[in-house]
Amino acid sequence: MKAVCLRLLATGLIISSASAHEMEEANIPLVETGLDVYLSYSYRNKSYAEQDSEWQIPGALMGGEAFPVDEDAGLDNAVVDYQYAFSPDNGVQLTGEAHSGHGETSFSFAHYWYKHQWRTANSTVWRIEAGRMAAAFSPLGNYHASRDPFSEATLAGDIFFGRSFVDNGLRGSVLLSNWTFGAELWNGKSWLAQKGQAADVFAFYRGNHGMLDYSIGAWAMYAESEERRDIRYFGGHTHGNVVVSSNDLKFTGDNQVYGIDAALFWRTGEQSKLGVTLSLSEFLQDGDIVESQRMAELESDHQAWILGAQWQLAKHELVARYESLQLDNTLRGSAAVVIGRDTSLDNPEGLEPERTTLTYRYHYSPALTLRLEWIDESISDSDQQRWVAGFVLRGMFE
Amino acid sequence: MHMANRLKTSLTLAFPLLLAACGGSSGGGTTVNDIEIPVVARANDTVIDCDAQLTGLGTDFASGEIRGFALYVHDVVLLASDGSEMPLTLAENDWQSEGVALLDFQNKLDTCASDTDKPTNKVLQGSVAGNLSDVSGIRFRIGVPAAMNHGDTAAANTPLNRSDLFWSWQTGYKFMRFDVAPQGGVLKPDASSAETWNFHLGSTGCTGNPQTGETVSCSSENRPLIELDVSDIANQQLVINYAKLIENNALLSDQGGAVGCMSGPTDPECAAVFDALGMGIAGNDDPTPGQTVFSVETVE
Amino acid sequence: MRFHIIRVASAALFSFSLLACNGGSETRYLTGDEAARTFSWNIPQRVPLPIVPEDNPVNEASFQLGRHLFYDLRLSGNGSQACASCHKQNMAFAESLERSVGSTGELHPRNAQSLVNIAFNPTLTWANPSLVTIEQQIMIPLFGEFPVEQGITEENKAAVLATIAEDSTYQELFAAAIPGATSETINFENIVKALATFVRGINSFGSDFDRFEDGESGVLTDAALRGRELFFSENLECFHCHGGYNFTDSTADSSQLFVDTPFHNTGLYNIDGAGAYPEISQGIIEITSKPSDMGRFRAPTLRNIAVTAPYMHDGSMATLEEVIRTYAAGGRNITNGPYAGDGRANPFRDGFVTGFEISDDQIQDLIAFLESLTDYDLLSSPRFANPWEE
Repeated sequence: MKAVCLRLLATGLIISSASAHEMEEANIPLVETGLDVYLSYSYRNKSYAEQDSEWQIPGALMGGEAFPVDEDAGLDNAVVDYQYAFSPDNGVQLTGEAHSGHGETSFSFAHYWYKHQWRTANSTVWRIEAGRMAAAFSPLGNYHASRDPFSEATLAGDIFFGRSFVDNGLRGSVLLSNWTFGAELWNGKSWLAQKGQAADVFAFYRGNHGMLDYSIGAWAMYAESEERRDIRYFGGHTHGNVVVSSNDLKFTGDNQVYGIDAALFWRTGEQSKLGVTLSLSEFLQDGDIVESQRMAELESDHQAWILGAQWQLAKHELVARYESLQLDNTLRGSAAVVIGRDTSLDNPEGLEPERTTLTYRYHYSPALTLRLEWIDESISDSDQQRWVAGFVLRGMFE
Repeated sequence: MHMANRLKTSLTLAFPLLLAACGGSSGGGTTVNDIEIPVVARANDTVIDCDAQLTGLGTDFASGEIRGFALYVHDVVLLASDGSEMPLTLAENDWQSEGVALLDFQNKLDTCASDTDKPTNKVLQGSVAGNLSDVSGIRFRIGVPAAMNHGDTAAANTPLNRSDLFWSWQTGYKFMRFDVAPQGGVLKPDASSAETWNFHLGSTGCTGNPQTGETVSCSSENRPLIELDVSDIANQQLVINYAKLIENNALLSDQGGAVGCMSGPTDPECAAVFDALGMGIAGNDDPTPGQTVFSVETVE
Repeated sequence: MRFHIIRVASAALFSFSLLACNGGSETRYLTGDEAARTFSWNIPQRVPLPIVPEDNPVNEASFQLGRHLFYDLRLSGNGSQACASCHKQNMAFAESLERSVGSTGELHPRNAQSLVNIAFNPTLTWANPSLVTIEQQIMIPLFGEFPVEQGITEENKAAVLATIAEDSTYQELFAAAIPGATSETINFENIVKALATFVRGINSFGSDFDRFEDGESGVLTDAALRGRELFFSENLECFHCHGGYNFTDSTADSSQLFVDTPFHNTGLYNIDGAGAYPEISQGIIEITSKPSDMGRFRAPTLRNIAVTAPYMHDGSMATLEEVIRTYAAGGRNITNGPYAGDGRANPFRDGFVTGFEISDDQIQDLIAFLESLTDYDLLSSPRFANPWEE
């Protein structure tokens, strides 16, 4: 019932803001040959998982790339992005990515895809992209510390998508004045849609009114999981000498994720603006959990909301974010208790993960940003406060 | 006494007229005949019961007495000279039920130790559809069919309620139980002595399904199929010759495993006994083809 | 344009309220076995119920009938032996003899096992992949001839039944346990079913270890806690064969997708250098006849292990320390006597029995942990005690 409400709400939002505004984006080239490099490096005084143990949030089935941050200094994330333009309207993009954990750095050739766009009358742009790429339907499904105001991913992104939704797929989108509509099809290499398929649709609207800029978007994804597992701590992606105690839980079933995002900015001066952002999302899982030789039915309803506020003045930027999750699970069957107790689904305290992040960023130059963060969270049995100091480097080579 | 052993036949009218009226292509009618097939158990020429002194047994010509002598039989089929088959429908009685018959030659209680008489069964009773004068052979299988072999023995009805034929540790029945006490006992490899040389035939290597509680399969079914020629079924009987069964075994000394043969593939006594029944054991495929224990003879 | 913003803002506010008023985080368990749990199983909610044969559902009347039969010497050929003669409550329903003795004095090839939690056994006895229900197993002690245990035979079974049928206590118990009971009802089918229900009801999850796992503090000694770490370590590998809530990999319950029936050769013997165990008891090879099944036995539960000495299928080890030292050595090397041979070199030895380093102090810690698996309530609980002495 709750799911239905949120879905209707999302649909309503798209329809309610139907007015046309000229989009600048339609006129900039889709592809420009060149190399972009981003790098985020931070020091943390605490980690949110004990060294050599697994990071699990009670009530959630984690996986994908949702690794905990490390105590001490380390590379959050580095991205090397190469684009080659055959023309302003078509080309390829290749992305390599590195991140570290438990004192090791790993590098992966993350994305490679082809994109093409056509312009038609009324400045309408039709775009097709295909290849291995990150999903574009939701801001929660694609996180890189070097490109985000925050050095840590959202809890919702970590729990719903395993930090990032990356897969082989096809994306089609239409840019129609202030509107962007799109749909994506995925073939089952991501964590969420393990061995299954996924499809999503999204729409967002950008507009302005006097000194106000605003955007509103809604998105929905359906994904199938076939024996989805948490392989963060074994298999091809192990950091350090983590003691593998991971259960061999497998989830097979349907996933539905919906969300709306809204942002409102008030340009208060030449070099200053104030903004608030809101993200609401809901993640539903319905399927079977198999753990060793037992099975139970799982129905999950996870809801997340993220509220943000920011203030920017020249090179200074203050951003605050509050995240809250509600993780509701029902396990059915004679093995329900055993499976629950043996896995991270058990949530005897009814924990609702919460996190508040306060970030100050100093944009020294287009190539360098300094970042200071203070984080207060309760995502496991105990509360934690930690602080982070780091920098982001950007380089563009044409 | 002679008459009692005689194969008795009686004709029962079935539906020959009806069949003819249907105008089917089959010629002639089918008669259903009740039939009794006597079974006699001997050791060489001695007819087996609790009081009989059996002689000339096995490779060391032992003498001895039975302690138990019973076997289950099913799938009895009479074979016609034209190659057609006439399945025998076993009558329902204390010794026969649901197609399984128990033949039992032990005529005293308490493994023959008692003076009290115990009932025996030395006949197969049933009916066949067909002309008995055409019968040129008989075929039957020893044992309890797989579908009935692993039921709840505690709840079973006669003749499957015999506790001395429960083979609980193999979750089934003993198909044949021929226990004989040779004079002088059986010397075991460890120099101790046992009273009886036992032959217990049954399915082995069974595994169960713990979720259903059912036995799912047995690696060795051990149900020998016996096929014999018949010339005059109305005047013939089946013969079980125990001496043939243990012809190549020494009853006075056991080489290991269970004393005698309890169907254990590694039991040194089992190979020869199984061979006599026309079966292989433990990959040893019936070295001397055919069985030697069962025969058909004409009643004098 | 203004009203757009208002609509967006109000929608956002509405969304907040939507999220704010839902129930919050919870993981709830709907096992659907509430009806089945009304029987006094002595099994906590966190443990799934055992598999119960459809034709013998549990109920209290059947349990009580079974309890009377379990303790009744008259349920034997010569009136000298009951189930309880070899399965004593104060020893967690095992006994102190190395090998049991039947009603006619015959020595059994094997040590009497604890009956606690055997409702969770996928296979019964020490080594028999064909025995998958307690009902099937009970026929062996009642009617078995090789060896004779309770010694009921074709000749005396009518007399045994008559003795039971004449007892007015049983007449009441049978009438309560079996709907529509008649004089015909007092038969071995119902005796076996009631015995099975009693044994199926002897469950133990009330040890100090269980209290520790349930979050109670101060229930395990420091030594037991150190022993626990050792037990679950990859170095000792204990939990590979003695894992799970019943401390054996040979565990079946109603929640499993499939049930495994594991057996292990632990290198106790190697008489001929080719892996042979003493002929009297060789493991599931006796059933399967597969040469590689030599010496393979079921791993028993370790619950209440401290009170079930002696150990192993033939009772050939007197103490837990001896058992641990044998596993530390990777098997047993017998240097003289008829069973001489180096079990450590048994070709069929299980891959997890490879030996480990352990200090004397650690052995004592491990024993302290094993002692924490004893459920003292069970050993004296009136629920499982001899009803004829009440």
